[in-house]
Amino acid sequence: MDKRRFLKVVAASGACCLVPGSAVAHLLGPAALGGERGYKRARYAMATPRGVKCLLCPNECQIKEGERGDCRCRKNAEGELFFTGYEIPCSLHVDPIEKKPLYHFLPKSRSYSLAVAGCNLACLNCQNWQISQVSPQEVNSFDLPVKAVYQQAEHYNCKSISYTYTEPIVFYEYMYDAAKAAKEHNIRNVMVSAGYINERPLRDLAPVIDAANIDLKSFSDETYMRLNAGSLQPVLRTLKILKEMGVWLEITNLVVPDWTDDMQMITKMCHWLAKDGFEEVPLHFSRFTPRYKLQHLPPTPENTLNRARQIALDAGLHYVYIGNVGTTEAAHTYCPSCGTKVIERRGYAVSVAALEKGHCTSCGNAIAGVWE
Amino acid sequence: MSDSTSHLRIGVFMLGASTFVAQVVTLREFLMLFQGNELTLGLTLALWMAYVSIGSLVYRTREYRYKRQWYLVFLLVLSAAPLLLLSLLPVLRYALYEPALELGPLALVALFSVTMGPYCFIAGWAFPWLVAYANRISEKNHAGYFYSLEALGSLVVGVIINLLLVLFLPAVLFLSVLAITGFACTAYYAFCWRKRTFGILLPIIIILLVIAIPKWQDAEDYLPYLKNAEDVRIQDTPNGRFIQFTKEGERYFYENNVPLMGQWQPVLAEELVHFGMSQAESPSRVLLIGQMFNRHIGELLKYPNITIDFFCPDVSLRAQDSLFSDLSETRVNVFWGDPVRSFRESNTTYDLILVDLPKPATVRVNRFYSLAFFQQANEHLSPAGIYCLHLPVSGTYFDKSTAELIVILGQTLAEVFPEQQYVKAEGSYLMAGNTPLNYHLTQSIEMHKLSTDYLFPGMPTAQELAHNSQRVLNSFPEVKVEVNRNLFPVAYFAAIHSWLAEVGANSHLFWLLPLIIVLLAFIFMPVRAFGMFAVGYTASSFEFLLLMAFQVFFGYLYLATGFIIMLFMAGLSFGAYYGYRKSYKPERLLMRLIFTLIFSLMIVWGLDRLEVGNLSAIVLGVVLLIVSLYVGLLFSAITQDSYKHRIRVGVIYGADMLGSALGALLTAVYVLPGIGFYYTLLGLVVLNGVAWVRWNLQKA
Repeated sequence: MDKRRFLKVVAASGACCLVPGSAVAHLLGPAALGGERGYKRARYAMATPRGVKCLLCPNECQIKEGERGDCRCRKNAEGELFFTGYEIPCSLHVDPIEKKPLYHFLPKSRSYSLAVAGCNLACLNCQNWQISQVSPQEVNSFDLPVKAVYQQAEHYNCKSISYTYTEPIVFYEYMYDAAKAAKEHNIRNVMVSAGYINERPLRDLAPVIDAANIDLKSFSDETYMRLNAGSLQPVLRTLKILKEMGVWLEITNLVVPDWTDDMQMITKMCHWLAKDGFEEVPLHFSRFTPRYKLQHLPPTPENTLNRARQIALDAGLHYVYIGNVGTTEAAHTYCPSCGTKVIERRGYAVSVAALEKGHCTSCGNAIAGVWE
Repeated sequence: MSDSTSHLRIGVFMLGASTFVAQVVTLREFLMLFQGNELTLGLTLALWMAYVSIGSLVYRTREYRYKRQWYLVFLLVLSAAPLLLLSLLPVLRYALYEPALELGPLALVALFSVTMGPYCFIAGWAFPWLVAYANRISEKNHAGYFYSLEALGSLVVGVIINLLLVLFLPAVLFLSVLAITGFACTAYYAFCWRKRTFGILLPIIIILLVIAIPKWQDAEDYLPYLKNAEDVRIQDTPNGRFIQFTKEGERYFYENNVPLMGQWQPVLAEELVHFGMSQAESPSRVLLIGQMFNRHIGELLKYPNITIDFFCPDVSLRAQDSLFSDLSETRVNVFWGDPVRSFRESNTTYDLILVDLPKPATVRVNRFYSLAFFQQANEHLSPAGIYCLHLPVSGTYFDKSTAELIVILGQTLAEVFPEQQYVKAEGSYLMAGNTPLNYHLTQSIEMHKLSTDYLFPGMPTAQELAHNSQRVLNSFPEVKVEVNRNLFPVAYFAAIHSWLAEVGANSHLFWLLPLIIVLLAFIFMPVRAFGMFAVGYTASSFEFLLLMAFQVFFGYLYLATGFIIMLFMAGLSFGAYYGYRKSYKPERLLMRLIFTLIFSLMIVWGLDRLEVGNLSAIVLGVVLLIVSLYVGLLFSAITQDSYKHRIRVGVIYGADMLGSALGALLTAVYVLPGIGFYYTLLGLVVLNGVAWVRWNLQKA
């Protein structure tokens, strides 16, 4: 072999290695479906000449035979769309409800928290990319039938079940069934989500969900696309629908340096919330810490969070908190009418200082929330 | 000077000097830009060699006229290119890629290719060109001699940098000194040869560099985290680049582009401290091994009657210790530097050892999770003492490599301690000791009536902790894992996989492609070229193994890199020169190299067990010198032999560099963490054995 030929062979070998795994998988053909663990027919899908179209979230992936959608947990197998993480959560934990964060929903209670691998967004700062950017089949998972979810919650003395850690929308079928069963046993359901869901599935889901914390990641379509691979409008629609359907709602805004710490954008967001009737909805400005693909950025300075909080209060929002910063005065709940500290928080230590049956003991003003 | 080869000798010497400085600074810059693990190091070295190899191989295809102008251009490139290209590197990185985004190995390949790639290509092309130029003038083979001169150039500059400049000058000034020397050479020859064009060109290039470089070097313009920062201080230290700045009243510290912030979550500090204190029986002396920003000391100080020793590896923060008020407490003794050394120098016995360090994503950090470290820790524990390790993974999210890491570390601890248990709470922990353990891990809070924010008496309960921990362990697939050793760093392997997954890179690409090239080389390369290929592979692989051994024994990397490369060049230079003067049979030298490798395998094995401290450095240095001596001898012997058979030096040099590239990459990424130090060395013995057999078969 002369040198030219040698180099050609080397280049060809390199090209072979660069062929995407999906193409190889396609050549190998779709995986056999028979009795595969975690499979359940997807609720929101439509057959099209190009494959199955998933109608669960605004991504509306057109999924070819044997392939998975952007969320990695919905797969076209033999022309039908399957959710592949049913009853196989990858994370289980008992958390204080304040960790979600939900500050106005059953304070001091414990929430049985679970997640299935996968996510329909691709945030550069994802805190749990190990389980969100993979399929349920790529992680170690537990067997937890729908019935066992509320049983475990009861066993651990939890007042609620939280569908959290990853994006619960992508395990919609499991969340819906578990939430329905839990509701029948008087256990509440909490969804901690980015709110990136289509209208119909959301309206179907809302009756079994008691509370939600929605991550409003920024207030700019461009930032949503660049940072999270999503868009803003569907999230705003989710907020409106949840509020309209009586789900207790709290909003989190993660302040990422250089990405979402623009005070003008925060001002715009706060004014939108105040104008559209969300002034009673608690808003949490959360501190970013270096994670995943944004590990070179510094954590958000606490002063930035305090400035954002002040903007929100000035815009007319009543309950604004900062989070992920340790002990701070901005973690307490103050009565918007008289300014009395009604709930005090230090980490997970919560003391109800001046609240009785949802009213400030000092002035009698109703504090929005689900207290019992 | 018409027919003299003296100017060519200067050129070869400059080539060695320039490539050495450029390589050391390139490694440093790429380590800073790309997460600083061995994969980055191996890949950078591999790319370097690969481009040199391509340049050398390409030279063979065309005849070039030997013009003096080209020689002057070549000198200019050697002088100015490293400064220009390396200054351009951070600018390009932040211009082409999202500034805040962590980049993966493919971005490294791309950035190397547009910056140092062309320079390496020219360096590779230049060597056979200069040899052929000299051969044509004097009708004699100069390959071995020039190889020796090139290595000598690297050696001389290595001595200057390592002994003098590294302590006083930042990287940009090394390169400036190199550029000035090169310009002086160019000016001298331009004057002697009356090449007036260069008299105009040279000052223009110098003026451009003087204007442009300071601008490019201004990190505040391109580092994303320095945007809107105040009171920025940037320092080049022997450990890399240390940056501190203030934003909105908060002070931040970065080393090699990585934020030095430790574990920020107070809940994890509470868990590690109070879990450990609950497990140990009334501890009075506690050792904490962790980072400055972890909040453990504050938690520990809540206990009234304990003394705390703190081993802190964040040496760069030593000057900032006034920022950490906990350190001034009389009950706290701080020991700065490498925890392995601190252990070695201490005789203190502890009732509790708490460890909270980053992931073993480098061989250096892997040492703190190795069997040897756990054994060392056990020797410093009282009979009922507890070793409590915060695992550098989440307590809630377990991907496959995380699970593997937990199993590896659990198994390694089990080799040392009869009792050990996994605890899953908000974080993940491994506890070990010589007496039975339990899950009543909040009892110390209750007993001492401590005020805490995240853990409370009976929350979480012992039953919950036990149940959750067992459930997580049960979910892990039953895999057979090795124990994590310093010279068989399987935990590092798992961490590298995790990093590759994080940056979205295909981990198979990094072993499949090089392996295919090795096989193709074995099948298709002419015997002499394959002999040199095997020697090149051995040289870079061995160099890398030694880099790793230095880290294991001494715990630093950057400072060692220059010394190791320098030693290697000394061996190469002397060996190549000696081989040029004498006539050796390559097959005999190959056999001697094989014996040397076997000998060094035994030496390292002995050093690993005997813990002879600083003597290890001397012994390892001598071994490296002997191996590089043989590499130099072999280059001369093979090129002499090839000259007789009319094989061009470009092919041999190209094969050498290609072997070096693959050796660096495969050893760094797969072979070493996959099969360990000893089997890697054994692999080198086999590879050279194959080359020896092929050589003898050809002869027969």
